[in-house]
Amino acid sequence: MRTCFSSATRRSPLSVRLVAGLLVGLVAWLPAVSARGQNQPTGVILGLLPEKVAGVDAGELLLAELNCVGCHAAANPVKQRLASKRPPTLGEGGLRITPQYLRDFLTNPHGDKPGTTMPDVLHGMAAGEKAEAVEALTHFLTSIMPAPAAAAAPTGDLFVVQRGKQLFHSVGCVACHAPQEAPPAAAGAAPDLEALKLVSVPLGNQARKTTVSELAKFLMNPLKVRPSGRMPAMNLNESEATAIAMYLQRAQLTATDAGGAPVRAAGLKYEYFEAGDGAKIKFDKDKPVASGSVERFVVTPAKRKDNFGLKFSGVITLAKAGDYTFFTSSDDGSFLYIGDTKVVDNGGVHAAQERKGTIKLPAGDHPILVTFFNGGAGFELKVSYEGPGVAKQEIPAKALSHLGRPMLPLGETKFAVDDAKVARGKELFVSLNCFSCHQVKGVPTDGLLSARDFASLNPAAAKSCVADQVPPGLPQFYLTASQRAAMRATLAKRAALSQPLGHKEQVGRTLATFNCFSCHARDGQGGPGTARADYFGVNGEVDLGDEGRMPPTLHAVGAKLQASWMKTVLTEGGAVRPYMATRMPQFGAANVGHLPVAFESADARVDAPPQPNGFAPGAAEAAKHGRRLVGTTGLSCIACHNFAGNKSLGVPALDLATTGQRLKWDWFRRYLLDPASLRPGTRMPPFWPEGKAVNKDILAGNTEKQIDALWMYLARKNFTDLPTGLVQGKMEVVVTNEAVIYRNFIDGAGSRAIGVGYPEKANLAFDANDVRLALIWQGAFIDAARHRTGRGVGFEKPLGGNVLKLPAGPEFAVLADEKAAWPTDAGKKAEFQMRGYRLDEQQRPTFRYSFKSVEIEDFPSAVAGEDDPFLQRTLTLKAATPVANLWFRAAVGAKIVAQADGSFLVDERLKLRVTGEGKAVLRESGGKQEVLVPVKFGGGAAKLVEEFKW
Amino acid sequence: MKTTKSKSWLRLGHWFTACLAGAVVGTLDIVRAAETAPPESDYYQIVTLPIPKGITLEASALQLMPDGKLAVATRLGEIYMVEGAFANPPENVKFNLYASGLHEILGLTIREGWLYCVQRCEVTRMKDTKGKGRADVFETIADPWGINGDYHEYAFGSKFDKDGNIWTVLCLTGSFTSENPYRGWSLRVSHDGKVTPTCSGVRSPGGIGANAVGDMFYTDNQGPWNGACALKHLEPGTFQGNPQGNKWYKLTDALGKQPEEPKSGSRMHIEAKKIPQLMPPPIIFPYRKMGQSASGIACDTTGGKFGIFQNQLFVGDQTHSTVMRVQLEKVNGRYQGACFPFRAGFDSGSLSLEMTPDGSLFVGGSDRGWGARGGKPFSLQRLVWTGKKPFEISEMRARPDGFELAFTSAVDSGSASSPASYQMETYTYIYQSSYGSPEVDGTKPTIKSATVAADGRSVRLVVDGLQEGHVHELHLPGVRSPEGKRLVHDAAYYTLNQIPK
Repeated sequence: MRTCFSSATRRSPLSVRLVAGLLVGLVAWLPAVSARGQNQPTGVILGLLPEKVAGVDAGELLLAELNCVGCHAAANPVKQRLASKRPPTLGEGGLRITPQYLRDFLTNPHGDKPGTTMPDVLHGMAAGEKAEAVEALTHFLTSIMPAPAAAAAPTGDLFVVQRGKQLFHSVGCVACHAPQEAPPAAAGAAPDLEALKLVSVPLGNQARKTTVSELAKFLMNPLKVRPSGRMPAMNLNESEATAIAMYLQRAQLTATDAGGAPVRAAGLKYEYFEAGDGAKIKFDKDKPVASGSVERFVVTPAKRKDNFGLKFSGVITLAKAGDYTFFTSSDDGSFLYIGDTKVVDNGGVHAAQERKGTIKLPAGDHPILVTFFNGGAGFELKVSYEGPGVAKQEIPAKALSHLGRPMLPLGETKFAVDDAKVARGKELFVSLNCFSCHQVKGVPTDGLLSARDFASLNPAAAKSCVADQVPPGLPQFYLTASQRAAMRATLAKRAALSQPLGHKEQVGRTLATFNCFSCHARDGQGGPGTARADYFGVNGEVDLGDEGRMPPTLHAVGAKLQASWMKTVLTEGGAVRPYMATRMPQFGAANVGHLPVAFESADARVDAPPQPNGFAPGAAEAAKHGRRLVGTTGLSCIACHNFAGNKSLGVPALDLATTGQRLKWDWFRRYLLDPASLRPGTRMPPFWPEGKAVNKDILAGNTEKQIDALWMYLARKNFTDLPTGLVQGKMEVVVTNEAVIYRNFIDGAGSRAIGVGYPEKANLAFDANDVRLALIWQGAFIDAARHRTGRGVGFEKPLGGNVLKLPAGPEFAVLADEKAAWPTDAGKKAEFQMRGYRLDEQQRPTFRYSFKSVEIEDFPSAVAGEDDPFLQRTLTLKAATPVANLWFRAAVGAKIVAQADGSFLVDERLKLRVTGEGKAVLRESGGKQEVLVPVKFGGGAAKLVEEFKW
Repeated sequence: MKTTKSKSWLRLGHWFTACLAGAVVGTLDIVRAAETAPPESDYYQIVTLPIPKGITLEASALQLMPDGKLAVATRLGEIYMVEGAFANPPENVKFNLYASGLHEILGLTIREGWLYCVQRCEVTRMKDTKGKGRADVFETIADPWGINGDYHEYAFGSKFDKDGNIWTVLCLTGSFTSENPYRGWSLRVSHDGKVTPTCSGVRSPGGIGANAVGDMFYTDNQGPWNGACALKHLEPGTFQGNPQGNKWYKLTDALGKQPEEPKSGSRMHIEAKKIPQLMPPPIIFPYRKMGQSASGIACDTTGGKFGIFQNQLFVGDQTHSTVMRVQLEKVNGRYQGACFPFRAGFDSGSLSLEMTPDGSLFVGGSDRGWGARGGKPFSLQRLVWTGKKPFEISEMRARPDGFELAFTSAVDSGSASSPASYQMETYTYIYQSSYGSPEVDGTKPTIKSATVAADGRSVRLVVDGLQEGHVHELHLPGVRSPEGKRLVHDAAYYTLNQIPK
């Protein structure tokens, strides 16, 4: 049956990458020479390991990873020591793999997956015979596959793909697998992605192998299919797993229909969201209330007026290459993305305002995404563009489309299982010894193993799996010469394999086997290498330096962490660094459950002082001092550290309330005395420099007593008494008998807002960027807590009620005629310049600014009013030469009604009176109504008076 | 032991930590004697000004007013006029609110009857025109830079220079990027609003101030492209090292051609040879050894009223609640020099520094958002010289084959002429796009000889193995005064960008 070993052999598989990627690194130190005698690239070890892992025998590791004892029966102690890698589950409980992929893989396991641990068992067969065997095995394996998922395959979504790309490159996948893109924030040179492939675990052709939902299911729980944990769980939820699957299988998106055209549906996909506060909708995390498709960017899918959001996604088709400007005009916020790029930033709570962005694009199709939300008080969304040959216009339906076809594996054809081929395949499955690794229900195993047992193997035999030439009939792993030599050497002294590994060796073996070294350093080896370091990022904006993004060192970790906490982290998903984007993978208790004991034993410190007794007399008193030390009354640990779920006053460093369940006392004490000695590069400053307490007030500055006290407090399980200063209440700026100014980031009035609170309880915020009155409200002025605690992050809303957003855009403009559209550019772009303000006796400001050559004084004042307080505003303009065609825009609204008393009712909410030399005009413009007042100069001056009642 | 309470920690601590944790602290293998150095407080006394209840005095900028009051600006945007700031003991200190509602003030200076401040969004000048003790006119002098609501976009401002300019240094957006015009730049703003772009390459300043001859310096903090905190020289036209803000070269020709992008992972002195505009920092403050957040800068131009470090710079460190001392010299046309520990033990995170002509160094503190050793949320303190002369290294000057050390008083020629009394190591930092850097490329030069001058006031060290571009960390464990006293601080850190020709 078997043909002779043919010299006209297959093309060179990349034998250096033979062993599944986890091993690649480890064995790369061996001189890599392929079976053909060619030099192969050796690459760098995954992470930082240019040389062998101290104390780990490469031959032994190979024996384990290639599951040699699957065929070669071994005594239990050997089996246990090798902790062999088991192959993926086939059939029930396994992954549903397409026949086309099975055929490819069986024909040449190393073709698509260079470095797989799956041996080529058909090597050396004649072509016809091999094809027949592949076909029979494919039918047999397909016959035992789990049933296909009932749900329809998802349609592709380019933005889900984008999210998948971001997740794949940030949660930790690329610590072992090759990255497919340059790191997101690579400020330095991009890594050589091709070179990285040579030292990474191959992924195979996922687009051909299976469906999005199968792969997503696998990613959520890989241990079910691959129980040996070499592929760990990354703690992905369904939407994350789907996103990564869709990214890895993105080739399915560009599949064409029978005519060769991409399969598209007209219009855009939309998702509709609702929330208590529209501004807080998270478009990539929240679950949409409804979804579907719409012709173009319209708000019609919204089911209510307030606190909703819409996400539109699809493809925009551009006829010509060039610079395109996109616009959104929205109330409230909106963003527009083309591919990865945020082109329009029109975020925040605001009245209808237009923002734009320009991007250079080639002709053709581009992913487009718009998110839009409305809080309250009216809504609007217009999405427009202009570019080569396109005048500014709302993006028409004809330019928009979305992917409408379900994603299906590549190369999908009808496949009917043939019973005769199934029977033949089952026969081969046994005769080729597949069953000795892959246990499949219904395939007998007992007494069928034909290989020699482990103890009687002859490593020097001319014909063997580890011989220089592997004869047909034996599994061909395409080992390098150095790999073969390492295995032979280990086999020659295999008696040692009957002895269990010591704890130190066990730690090294486990860390190498699971490639923990690609993220964690220990004893001077490992840690993210330079090529992959930039893929370790943070979640959101976290100013913690490398401590915020790099996984912690495992150096002496057994002396640092309590065994129970190590168990929690290793097998129960425990994590205390929410700011770190890279996740701690879960390898399964059966695979790494031994580590806590091994770490503790390997890292034990003989001189560790005893832990202070938390129940000793005085312990409760000490804990009180500890609390003072942690709070703003002592060392202000909470200036940086979160505490019991409460945010710190500054950066979100690790939650100190976890101390007692995680750390060992001895480590805690040594760390406080000299943080950098245990965490090189830490930003934690020493508070007992040179052993002397900085704080002399608490416990008389006694170092040991202070550290004891901290432990007594932090080692608690419950914190009914939080540290002083942690929880900040409201810090209202109270306005009493004179006006109060508050310049800061105010929501709705910009980054350069000037808030003014008046004793009459009507307040305003002036936007000094746009140079306009932006917000008015009644009642309480503002809560300054956001800006007066921590680093003062973010925009604060008015504290009082009845908040009215005034129209965005300039308040003054020169118009060609009465019909001309009101311009959108404000601030410096429109020749406005802020000049400052003057305060009167009651501390009320008169704002001073200029527009072109006109100097403007703007004096708002509050009036208590009979019912509600209201605002008046006197604008005095001066110009050496009067400016012609100068207009003031007093109001914009959907509906403005002129009142009998000469005032205007704007959107049934604001009663506005404006008087000046010129007569106010109510006009329609851009689908809105506007009140404009011509500015008439007399003697180089003009005056306008406004009154706002709302 | 009582008198030596707060001072001995420097030395003891090295011993303590080394023994306890087996840690490589200074990496210098020095046998430390158990004897202690005299305390800093023997020479420089901290006077704490009592702050009335209800005032959150996160003192972020200081200015002595012509009427003798001290103007104190805060991060909350208030300005107080402090009466009695110089009293010792500090009794009857009065805080009068002069202005409020401004946006995080990080610079105060005066000119022609106006008080100028640099607030987050603009340079503003103000005046009390009615004599009621409160400013009533606020004029926007210039607002050439952008802000977008990111807390990190701070703006620091200097005192007026001789040409009537305030020098500003503008933090990057969110510490890593430059999202708005001129973030990561230094701009000069004249008293009447003329704006001159001056330097690029700024990351995260903590303070700005001139030296005795009026050249401008600022502190920049550890982070991307900054291996450790440093004092940088704002020579107009130069690029200070962080390329994020270089996109704004498109707004101005004032600095000439945009510099070439530095190579991440390289070293500053290597890149400086390729990029002519790149100005290596004259002083690096080795991380943790000197401090972790360099801040305000003051120069002692008091003609001896603040002691014997005339014309040297004093620089705050916010995290360590300290003031450090800096001595600069020009070598091959560029500033460089040494930094020394000076005074620890301030109440809060040292932020603003102001030297007044009477020889007072005011130090304003805040630990909001960035923890500090001092532990108090805010503070205003005055450092005064007690009149006693400390035994210190006053200057460390580079020589082609070593260094020359000047001392504040004569050394014991026996101990000071023995090379074994000195320990030196060198290191530098990775110049990279990611955050900070460990000390790298470490060497141990050999001190071949130590020659004491005839007057005993200086020692010439001949050193084998000077390293261009490295910090040279020197300890003098064996050097004594003729009376057998130890130095108050036996550490000096010289940033040797240039070896004298």
